[in-house]
Order: sequence, then C-alpha cells, then structure tokens
Amino acid sequence: MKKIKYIFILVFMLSLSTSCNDWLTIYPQNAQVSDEYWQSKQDVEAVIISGYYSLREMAVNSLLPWGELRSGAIFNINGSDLQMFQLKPIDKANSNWGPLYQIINTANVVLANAHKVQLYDDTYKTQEVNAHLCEAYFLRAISYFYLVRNWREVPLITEPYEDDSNSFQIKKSSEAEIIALVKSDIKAALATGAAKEYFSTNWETKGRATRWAFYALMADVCLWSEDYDTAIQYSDYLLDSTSPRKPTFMQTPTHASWFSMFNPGNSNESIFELQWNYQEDQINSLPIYFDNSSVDRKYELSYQLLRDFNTEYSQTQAEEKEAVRTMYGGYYVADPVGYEVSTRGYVWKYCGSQTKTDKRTKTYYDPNLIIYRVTEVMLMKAEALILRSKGGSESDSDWQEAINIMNEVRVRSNLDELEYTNNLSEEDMLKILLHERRIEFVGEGKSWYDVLRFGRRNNNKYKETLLVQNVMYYNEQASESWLRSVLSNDDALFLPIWEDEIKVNPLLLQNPYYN
Amino acid sequence: MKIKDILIICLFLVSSVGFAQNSRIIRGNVTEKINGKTEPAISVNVVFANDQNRTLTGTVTDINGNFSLIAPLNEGKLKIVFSFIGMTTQTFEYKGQQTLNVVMNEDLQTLRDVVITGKRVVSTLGITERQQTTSSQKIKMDLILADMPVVSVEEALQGKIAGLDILAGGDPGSKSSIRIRGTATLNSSTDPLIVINGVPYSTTIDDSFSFNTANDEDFAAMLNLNPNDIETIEVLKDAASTSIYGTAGANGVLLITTKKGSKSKTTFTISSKSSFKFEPDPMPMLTGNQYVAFIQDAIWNTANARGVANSGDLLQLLFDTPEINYSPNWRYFNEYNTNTDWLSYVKRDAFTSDNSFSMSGGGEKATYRFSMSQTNEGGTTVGTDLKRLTASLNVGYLFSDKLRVDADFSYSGSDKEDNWTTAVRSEALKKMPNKSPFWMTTDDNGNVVATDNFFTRQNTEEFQGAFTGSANFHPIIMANESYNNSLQDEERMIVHLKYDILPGLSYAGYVSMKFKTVKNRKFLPQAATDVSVDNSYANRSTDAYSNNLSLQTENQLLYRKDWNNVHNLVATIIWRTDQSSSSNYSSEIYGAASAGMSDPVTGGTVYSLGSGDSEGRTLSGIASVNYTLLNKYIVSGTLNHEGKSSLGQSNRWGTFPSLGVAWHVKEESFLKDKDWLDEFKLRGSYGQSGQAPSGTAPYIGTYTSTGKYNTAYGISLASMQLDKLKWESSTEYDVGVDLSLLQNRLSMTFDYYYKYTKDLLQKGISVPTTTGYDNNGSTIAYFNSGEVSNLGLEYRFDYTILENKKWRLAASFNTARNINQIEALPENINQINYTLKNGEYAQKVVPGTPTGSFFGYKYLGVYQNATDTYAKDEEDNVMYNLDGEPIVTRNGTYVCFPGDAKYADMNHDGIINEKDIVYIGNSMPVIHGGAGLNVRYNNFTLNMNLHYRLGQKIINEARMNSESMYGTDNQSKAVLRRWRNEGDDTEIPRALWHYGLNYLGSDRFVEDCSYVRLQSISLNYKIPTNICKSLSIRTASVFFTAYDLLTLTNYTGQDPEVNLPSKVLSLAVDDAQTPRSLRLSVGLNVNF
Repeated sequence: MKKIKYIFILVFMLSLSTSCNDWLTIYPQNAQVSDEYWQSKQDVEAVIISGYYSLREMAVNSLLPWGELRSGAIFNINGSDLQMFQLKPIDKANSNWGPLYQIINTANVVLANAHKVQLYDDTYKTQEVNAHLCEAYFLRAISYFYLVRNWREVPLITEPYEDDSNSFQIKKSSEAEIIALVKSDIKAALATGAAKEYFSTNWETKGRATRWAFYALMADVCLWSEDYDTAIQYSDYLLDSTSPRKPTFMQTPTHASWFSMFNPGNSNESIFELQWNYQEDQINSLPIYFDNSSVDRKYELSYQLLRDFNTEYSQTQAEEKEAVRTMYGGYYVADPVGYEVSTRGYVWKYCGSQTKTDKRTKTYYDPNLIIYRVTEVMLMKAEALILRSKGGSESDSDWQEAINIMNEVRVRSNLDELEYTNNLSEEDMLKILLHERRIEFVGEGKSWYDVLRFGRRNNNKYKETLLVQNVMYYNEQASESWLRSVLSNDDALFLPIWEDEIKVNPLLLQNPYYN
Repeated sequence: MKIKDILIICLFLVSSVGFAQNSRIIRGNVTEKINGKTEPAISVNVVFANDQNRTLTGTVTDINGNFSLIAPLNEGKLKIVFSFIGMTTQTFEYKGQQTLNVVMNEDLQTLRDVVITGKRVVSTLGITERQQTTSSQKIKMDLILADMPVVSVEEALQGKIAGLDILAGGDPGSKSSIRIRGTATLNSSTDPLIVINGVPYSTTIDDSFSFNTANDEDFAAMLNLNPNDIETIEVLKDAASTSIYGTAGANGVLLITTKKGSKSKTTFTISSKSSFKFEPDPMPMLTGNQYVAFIQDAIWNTANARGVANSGDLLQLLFDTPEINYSPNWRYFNEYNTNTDWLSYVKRDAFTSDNSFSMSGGGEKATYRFSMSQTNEGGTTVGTDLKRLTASLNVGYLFSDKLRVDADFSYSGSDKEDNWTTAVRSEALKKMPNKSPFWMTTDDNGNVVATDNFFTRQNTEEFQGAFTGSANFHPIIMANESYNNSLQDEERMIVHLKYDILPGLSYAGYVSMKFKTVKNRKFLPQAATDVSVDNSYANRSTDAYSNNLSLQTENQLLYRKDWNNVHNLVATIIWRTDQSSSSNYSSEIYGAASAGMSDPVTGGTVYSLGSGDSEGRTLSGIASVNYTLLNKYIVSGTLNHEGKSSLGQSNRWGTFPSLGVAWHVKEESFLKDKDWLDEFKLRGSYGQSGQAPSGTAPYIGTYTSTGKYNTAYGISLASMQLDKLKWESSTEYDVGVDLSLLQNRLSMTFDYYYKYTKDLLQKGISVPTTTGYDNNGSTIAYFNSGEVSNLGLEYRFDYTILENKKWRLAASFNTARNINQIEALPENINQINYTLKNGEYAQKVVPGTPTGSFFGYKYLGVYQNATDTYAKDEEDNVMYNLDGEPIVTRNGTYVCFPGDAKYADMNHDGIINEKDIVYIGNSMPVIHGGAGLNVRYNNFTLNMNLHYRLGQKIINEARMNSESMYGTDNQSKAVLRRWRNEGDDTEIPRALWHYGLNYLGSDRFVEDCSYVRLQSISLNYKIPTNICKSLSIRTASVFFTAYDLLTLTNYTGQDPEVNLPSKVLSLAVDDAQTPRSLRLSVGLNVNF
C-alpha cells in the first residue's frame, strides 16, 4: 500500500514537471511562431515568395545602380559615390549585402524544411517539394551571383539561421568557391527534374524561377567563370528547346513588338523578371527616376551613349524604317526632331506607355525589371562562341555564328547587318558585342557587369581596352585621371564591406582598397 | 409501506434529538463587575470547542446575561469558552454540567499599549532573527510615521538603511530609483522586489509591452500603498537571504508587512497631516536687455569668425530682426520689450494634505482591520499633482487552533496629473526674457501693461522659431491647459491559509490576485504651440489604456523541530507560481474638438494607434533547511529551482543554491559571562541568483508577413529562435558581524559583500547581416555576454545613549560603499555611436569602468590669445606645419580663436575630436547613507534624519543649456562672465551664434553632486494621558516637521538629488527636473 502511494506521488511529480514546461511555453499573440510553421505546402510557397519579394525590393535602389552606374553608361544626376568610385565603408546604402543574405537565408530555410512539411501535409507531393527546392536553389544561386560580382569574395552560408546554433561569424570564401556553389545549386535543381517550364499564371511563369531561368543564369555564371563550352551548352538548352512553353526571341521588327517586353511586360521573350502590379498597390520609382520631366528624376544617359543611340537612330531614319530599340524604345530625348543636337538622353524602357510616345501615367508606375530575356541568352552564346577560341577555321565558324546571332538582334531593330571578315581580332569581336549589349540592355542593370567580365577575363587581358577605356569614355562624372588611377587597382572594382558588418564579424577582412 | 417506514424513521430522529436536548443541554448566567457592581454581561460569546479550539456550536448571552446551549455529540473532549472583547477569555472543561455561571473580568493586558519586540519575531520561513545567517534590516513604520508625514514608502526608507540607495523625484507620484548594493545588470530591471505579506508585488513592466506614445514612467507603478498601513519594512540585501523569493529578488527584497487586526476592543486611529512645499531658488537668468546684448554679441562673434564677407545672412539677422532690436514702429514692439521671468509663472508653492483613518479589533475567532487614506499632493510645477485613495480590509479567522485563514482586500486609486510634456520648466528657462507672455496694452497713464490674453507667437518668423514637437511652446499655457493624466486603479485580493498538520509540521499557502488598470489621457492644446489647425500637433490628444492581471499562488510546507535545545531544525518546501498578463491600447489623434475629446471616434484625425499584449509566467520550487546546533552554530541552505516562460525549453530552468553559516560567539564560554556584550554574531553567506529576459517569449523565432509579390503573399523569418539564451546569473558572497553591547543599547552591523554577475543579458545585439535578418536591422533580442562586479561595505549602528523616564537620546548612522565595475564585454556590443557635436557625451560601456560612466573631453578653460591656440606636442612644444607656421588647434573642423573653449588634446594631433575623449567620472556615489537622532524629553520628541550621497557626478544639462550661448535660448547670469576680450579671466567661452564647438560634452558640465541633506527634522508632542482621558481618547500627538530644510552641496544645479535613468545604460542627466522642495508639515495623530 505504501509503495502504491509512492508510485502515485512519483507519477504525479513527473506529470507535474512535463506540464510545467507546457505551462511555461507562451507564444506571442501577434507573430507566427517558428515551431508551428512548416505545416503545409502553402507555408513553403509563402516563404519562397518572400525571397522573390526581397529581391524585388532591392531591385530599384541596389540591383540597378550596382549594375549600371560604374560603367558610366547612365549616370545619377545628383551625383553618386558609386559612379565616382568613391565609396566608403560607411555607405550602407551601397555596401550593405544584408538584403542578399536575407534571400539566401530564406532559400536555406526552405531547403532545410520543405521535406519536413510532407509529414504534416499529405497533399504535398514529392514533385511539388522538389519544385519548391528548385526555386530556393535559384534564389540562392542568383543572390550569390550578385554577391560575387559585387564583392568578389563573401561568406558562403548554406545553412539556415533559424536559431542561434550556427556561428554568426563566418569568414569570406574565395570567388571560385562561391561560383562552384552557384553552379552546383543550378545543377542540383535541374537534376531533380522538377524545375517547371511554366506556372499556372503568366506572371508567375515570368516572375518565378523556371527551367529557362536556370539555363540563362547558368550561361551567365559560366561566362563569368570563363567556362565557355558550358555556357554554350546551357544557352542551347534554351534556344534549341522544342518545348512549346519555351521563351522565344520576338523577331518582328516593329517598335510595338519590341517594346511590349517593357510595357506591358511578361512578354514571350522574357525569361525572368521581377514583378510589380499596380492593382496590388505595388508600384516603383523606375518611371520617375528615368523621366526627364520629373523633379525626382535620377538617371540620364551619358552623353557618349546618347551619341551611340543617335547614330543608330539616324540609321533607321535614313532608311525610313521604324525605330525599334532606339527612339522611344531604349532611349528618348525631349525633342526627337532635333535629336542630333540634343545633349540629354533618357532611358525610355520604364517610363514609356503602350502607345509610342506617351509616358506611363502615375497609376501604371509598375514596370517590371527584367533580369533575363532571350536576347541576352543569344548574346551570351555569341560571347561564348567568340571566346572559346578553338583556333583556325573552327574559330571562324564560331565567330561567323556569333555575328549571325548579333545580326538577328540587329535586324529586329531594323539596323544594318554586320559582315564577318576574318581580319577581326578577338578584341574587335568583343567590342562589337559589347556595343550590342550596351544598346540593347541599356537601363537593365547589365552594363557594369559586362565591362567587368570582359575586362577581367583571361587575367585582365582586355582590362585596359575593354574596361578602363570604356569606363573613361562613357563616365564623364569623374575625371579621367581619377578613373585611371582607381581602375588600375583590381580591388577598387568591387564594393567595400559595410563597416558595421565588420564590427560585428571580426573574421571579415575589408577589401584592401578601402582600408 | 414506504410511508410507514419514513414515518418511523422520522419519529426516531425526533425522539433522538429530543433525548439529546434533554440530557446535553447547559444553561447559565454570565455577569461582570462594573465599578464594583455585579451586572449581567450581555452578548458574551459562549461556545463549545473541541481540543483544537475549533468552534462547534455557540451562542451569546441575552439581555439578562443568560444563555443555553446544546453540547455537540461525538466530538471527544469538549470545552466551554466564554469570551468578550476587553474581557479575559475563560475556558471550562465540559463534563456534562447542566448549569454554569461565570463572572467575566476585564482584560488589562489588551488595553495596554501593544509593544512589539522585533527580536524574536518568526519570519515566514519559521526562522527567528537569531537563526538568520544573512543580513537584513527591519524598519518599524510606526516609529517613522509617528512624527513624519511620508507620502510614500520610498520616502520613508531613504537614508535609513545601509546599502539601500534611493533617489526620489520632485514631482508628485514620480518614480524613485531604488538600488540595493549597486547595479549588477545592464539591461534588466534594477528595482528590488517588493513583497507584501509574503506575496511578491511586481511593479515592473515587461519589455514587450508597447507604450506607443505614453512613456513607461506614466505606467510604471509606484507602490500604491498607504504608509500608515505598513507595520514593518525589512530589507533583504544579499543573495542568500533573497533566495527564497526566487530570482525576482536578485536586486534585493523589500519585505513589507502590513498591519493586522488584533484581539481587542475596536480602536480607531485618525491621522491628518498638512504640508507646504517651498521650492528652492532657481538659477538666475538673463534679463531682457542682457539677453538682447548677448544675442547680438554672439551673432557678431560668428560673423567675425566666418569672415564678415561671408556673413551677409548674419548681418541681416543682426540688423533686421525686430525681436532683438529697438524698433518702436514694429507692431509687436511692446511684446518684445519687457522683462519676463518665465519660470515664475510655471512654478508655485504647493500644499499637500494626507488624511487616514483606520479601525481594527477582533474577538476570539476573528480579527479585522480596515483602513482608508486620502492623499492630495500638490506639485510645485503648475499642472502637476497627485491624488490617491487607498482602502484595505484585512480579516483573519481562526477556524481552530490548527487552521487559520486570512483574507486581504485592498484597493488603491490614484490620479496623477502632469503636463503634456515634462519640459515645461526647461522651456520656461529657454524663453527669451524680453518677450512677454501676454499681449501688452497702454493704460490711461501711458504705461505699457500686460493684458489677460496670452501672447502666443511661435512661428517660423519668430526669433525663437516654431513649435518643434518638443520645444518652442508657450510654457504658461502648457502648464495650465495641457495635461497628461494617469488614472490608476489597483485591486488586490489575497487569501492565506495556514494549517498545522502535525506538531512541528505546518502548511501555509496563498492565492493572490491583482488587477490593475491604468488610463492615460494627454492633451496638447493648440494655443500652447500656436501651430496651424491642420498641423498634427494641433489639439493632439492621446487616450491610452492598459490592464494587468497577475495571479500568484504559493504552497509551503514547514517543519520545525527542536531537540532539547541541542539540535534545532527548520525545513521548508515551497512551490510558487506566478502568472501575469497585460494588454494595452492607445490612440492618438489631432485636430480634436476639445480637451475632453481624446477618444478617436469623436473626430479629429488619427495620428497613431497601437495595442499590445504580453504575458509572463514563472514557476519555482524552493527547498530550504536551517539547522542550529547548541543554539550557537547555524547552517542554512536554500535551493531554488525556477523556470521562466521568457526562456526557451532547454535553458528555461535555473538552479540557484545558497548557503549561509552563522556563529553566535557570545554563547561561547569565554564570552558568556561578559555583561557588556549582549550579542556577537559572525555571519557568512554565499548565494546565486539570476535574471531572465523580460517580455513574452523573447527567445522565440517567428515568421511574419512581408508583403505581396504580385498577387502572392510572402512570409519570411522575422526573428531568430534563441535556444542558447539563458539566465543572467550572479553569485554573491557576504560576510558580516552583528554586535550588540551595553544591554542592547548599542547595536552594530557590518557587512562586506562581493557580487559577480556573468552572462549579462545584452539587449538588441547586432549580428552580422549574413545571418539574413536584414529586415529587422540584423539584431537579435537578447544575447548573454559580459560580466560585471559589485563590491561593497556596509556599516550601521544604533545607539541609545540615554534612556530613562524623562529622557531618551538615541542616534543611528549608516554608510555604504559600493564599487561597481564592468569586467568583460563582448566585442560586438552596440557601442552607441558618437558624433562630434555640441552637448553630446559619448555613451560607452567600457570594461574597467563602472556602469553609468561619463566619457567626454577634458575642459581646460578658454584660449586667452593667439599663441594659446597653437597646437602643442607631447613635450608641450608648439607644432609647426611644413611652411614653418604654427599649427592652430582645431575643435573638429573649426579653427580655434581666442575666447574659444580649450579642450585637452589627448593625442596631440592638433584636432579635438572623438579620439580625445576620456573617462570623466560616473554617477555612482562613493559612499551614501544616512544618520538619525532621536531626543525625547517627557512628552516631546525631536527627530532628525540626514541623508548623504557623496562622490557621484552628474551631467548638469540644465547648466549646459543655459551657458551654451549657441542659439536663441535664454542663458543664465553666469554668461555675463563670458570671454569678450583678451585678458578676461574666465572659464566661460565667448558667445557664438550656431558656430563652433564651445560646449562639447566635457567635464565642464560634469559636476560633483555630493550632498548632505537634513532630510527631515521633526518635533512631536504627545498629549498627556490625563488630557486624553478627559477627551475620552487613548493617545494623541501633534507634530511639526520640516523636510529638506538644509542641503550642503557644491552642486550648482537646483537640486543635487537627480533621479537616475531607468535604463542602466542611459546617462544620468540633470535636465531641470522639478527639484525637491522645502516642505513644512503639521499633523495630528489620534487613537481612540
């Protein structure tokens, strides 16, 4: 009898101690607790969406200026330390990589948890899990690709920070390690076979990671890492695909067809673009920043680029053809009739409406930012063809093909075809390509990465001609001597690490140029 | 059949009752002797009780003193008890008597004054003071209240106890800062735990509580307890003694015991006190003409420093500003040519009344005490006061000798009135003195006189500018018409139960419920700011509400056993729960139609809305053992196992042991026969305690909605799960000596302690953005790191120098020294950024310095001439530049000229900047304490209390602002000594209009605010007993008290007693808070 009493007391004590812990667990009423998240596929979906959301939120004020200002193609009329190569580590706006790591953490969290959801959600099929993992891989890969292009060496983080079990202080990894991760992420995603060719709505097909976006990203990464055969291989996956869902090159040489890429956007040619939707109150400042008549305007074409555009525009004018990617396509001047004497040009892509010369009205300030479109994949292939230098006649045929690709792009814009002659050097070929890219993708956040990639390849072989001289030619904001001295330092081509970041992570070493 | 059965049963029952009535009935008559005559005693309680004194049945005597009562069946031994208030209770064994006649006698014992001797009082833990191994000190409120009109508990305790540092504010109802044995934490609360009748009473508000617009001081509860209801306050200081109250007592414990009813005739006490407050003289400010001259001087100096060629704007300001020029044709000429002492309009002498009433009494079984008090304290700043009403009822009922139940109910309601902004005084000091608060007019004699209408010209064209949200308002309208009222209601219900299970083993438990609601209303009248009607400050009105419910329970088993005075054991097990939840809501609108319309539904434009919830729970299991050998060797140990809801599963439970030993040396044979020594006790203790973060589960990781990506919803990680977050833990060692000499007339206590806190809770710590929490600034809620130590000495003596029938002379003194030091900090602590700016002090937490340290420049006076401004190297040689010209020192980017402030160039680089910042003192006192003197001659008693705090420093921001000579603010008369020409022997630099760095955060404004204060002096006259008798009252006394009559200090500010900021890491700043006033009180205490 006594024993029973003790057992009873013991059991009571045990139940007390477990219920104590329950009693002490209080969840806040105004937030979703991590422990109770990851119950359904909608939970996974929502976190992935937040990754795109974060990428979009940094598009206008980070992705675009990072990709454009340093090349001098367009410039900030209010001045910018970025375009002057005068950044300091205290400049949080330009040197904080936090938003990209937020996307990386989001992706890491999905990669770590998506599988667990299957335990709770029977309707969540493995194929859907893999499809979600693919998108997470894409978000992680593209974020690291932005990091490596802007900081060169960054901490490599592949585990999520859901709790404080992982060390907060991680040192930088080399450029090669980052690139290797980006490539392996893309391959891992594609290996699941779950990367979608399309989503249920058109905006998702263009606004989320599809199989096609992986191909474009991989080609881009391979060009960066000078792996040209793979770049061609992945370009061809897209260009030669027989899928009816594949994005296609919109070759109709009309302004209306070409400009539909930017307004209304999400065109057939688009592979991946960041989405805004005025009906959901999602508008952005791009139309204002590029609008010549806005008091808050920010960006103008550099005078040299304006002249390049004018040259192309006069070609179509002379031949009485419709201007496609020039006037009211890629650029505009306030008075198109007197364009030749105009000293100020602007990017039209974001402020143009669907009618040719009218601007978007305020309601429709929701232009998307295109990250990849088919034309770029074609030009990436051309670039790889130029550079894989097989030598001899094989090289000739590669270069001929590259010229052909460029001509396809030019013809669509009602411009003269280029003729391939075998006295062109590799450098000449690259200059032609660079010109093509600069005009075609103006304002899309590409031009700095182009000159940087061209200049750095093959151990800075073309750094002087394709990087330094180009920047000096287009960038009129900074003096030539300053630019020459800055650009001679390879470290100056990359951003500083925000000083507060170094304060809290002593393992980080500042980019030596900024010490 | 059935009916028959029932009838039979009924009959049987009736007959058995009848039988019992017949045989067990007892009758009798009770009488009492009144003035020698025997009279029937009416309404005497006559009860049958069992051997545990549990009442079984009872009656009262009738008008003739007769009673009859039936003895209960089957209850074993029975007693018959006769009792009446004021009479001696008489008990008779029941042996089946049929009649019993009793004569009641007056109980002389209970009618005498009740004298409570503190020495042997048994604490809630069942331990006598003698058995304690730790230091504690008890204060009897009656002794304080007998002749001091204290309004709050804090006031009563200030300066009385060694190691208890209290700084009280000058405004009615303002929260005092209380620190026991220094500051041992950086981000947690520093307030001690208040325990009322064994029940913890929390006054802190947790972090997750969002106040939106109201500041936490508005909601922070001062202890809403009527000092007259308090019987004793005991202060527990070291970890070993506070351990049974759990970690909530980590900062020390104030044990408050309230008065209870006792078995006696009903007694009434009335006390009434009235006080008058007189404020000390304010800082003398410039007059209108002096002000104008100073402004013109300042503008000229800047124009010269900048070069007159570049100073067109300044010259225009100088010549085209009618406010500071003599321009009789200007429409406001009269309004800007007066001499106004703005402060005199917003301060006043105030009156405080405090009345309380109590009645108490009780009989054999039940005791009760009821009290009510009403306080109405006026503030010396116009628009501030405090009204408080408290009521409490305590009922104790003795079911039997074994079972006792006590119920406490208390209510307090307070209405604190304040101004919309606390800056009324500082604004009054800033206002230009040549501006009039009223429209001026010319009377019949041609004199310019003020009208009744306020002159409210505060716009961008005015010299001092438009309302900024915190400054540039009309202080008089602000003081009179704006308000910030907090209505606080608090109800507490506590039921205690005590049951003696077996001899030596008893159970005690309580359930406590506390409800608190605070309603806060603020209104900023548009007239005070003169902003346009569509401005968001126009008639800004706030309505906030919060409520809090806390529920506490405790179950305690106590075992006491004594083996022939050789072994004595007291063991306790306690299981305690604590649950507290709060919710709040606030709305702020502007454009309100009138002051009463603060509710957002009444119109106006909503400016902000906010709401919040928070909840916290604590569980603790405590075991404690106290063992005494031979009445002289004592060992005690306590183990507290405590869990808190604000920590994650794995680190939620903390175990905090403590151990104490004591040795009564006096009991040893070699001291036993020494008559002069009454007590000699050596003590030592060790204890651990902890602090948990506050807030509803701050450790928890959360997801939150980000926003939409096109039509899809995004959710992302919002905060990191902090599984490593753990208790901030402290370890304290204490050794002490208690001495009692000369027939207990002189008692002394000495304590030495060392407290080391590690794993300090660091709040809002920055982590690398690579963790992916960029959306919340890459911070985590809490992080454990850093160490801080406190080392201290405490000493106290009480000496009754003389005591006889006529005379009593007693003195007491206490002092405490605490050395606080930050021992270690993580590299990634948020060092608050410093920018080189006038008036800014660097806020740093640096290992090796105490918390609350000031960092700034060393001020060396004024550059007298050009050679003086040359930069010097380490050898004090002038430095030259490449051209061979001497380098002129620069304050930041400003080149120094004669007359500018001279700071020590610590690194000798010729530039004064953040690299020259040094440690310049801290706000912790070197020693603090108090002293008291009590003199009695016959019926007169004189009481004096001193409070001192020496060696601490403070940033005298009020002086800084009034000597900065930088902007439009009025300045103090001290600036009349400012540097004007070479050879001016002064430490005050020249005036510069919005230029230069002449008042950087330097030691010039960090002042020693040591003080010794005659906190109170009181004369009490006890009305002789024969007079009392003729007035049919028991005792009565009148008193006269003066408070803060005299303060010895070198501090140049208005009052050296400046409240410490509630956040440990904030700097202590004197920003012209309402100073403590001289108060004179008269009062009367009557018992009948």
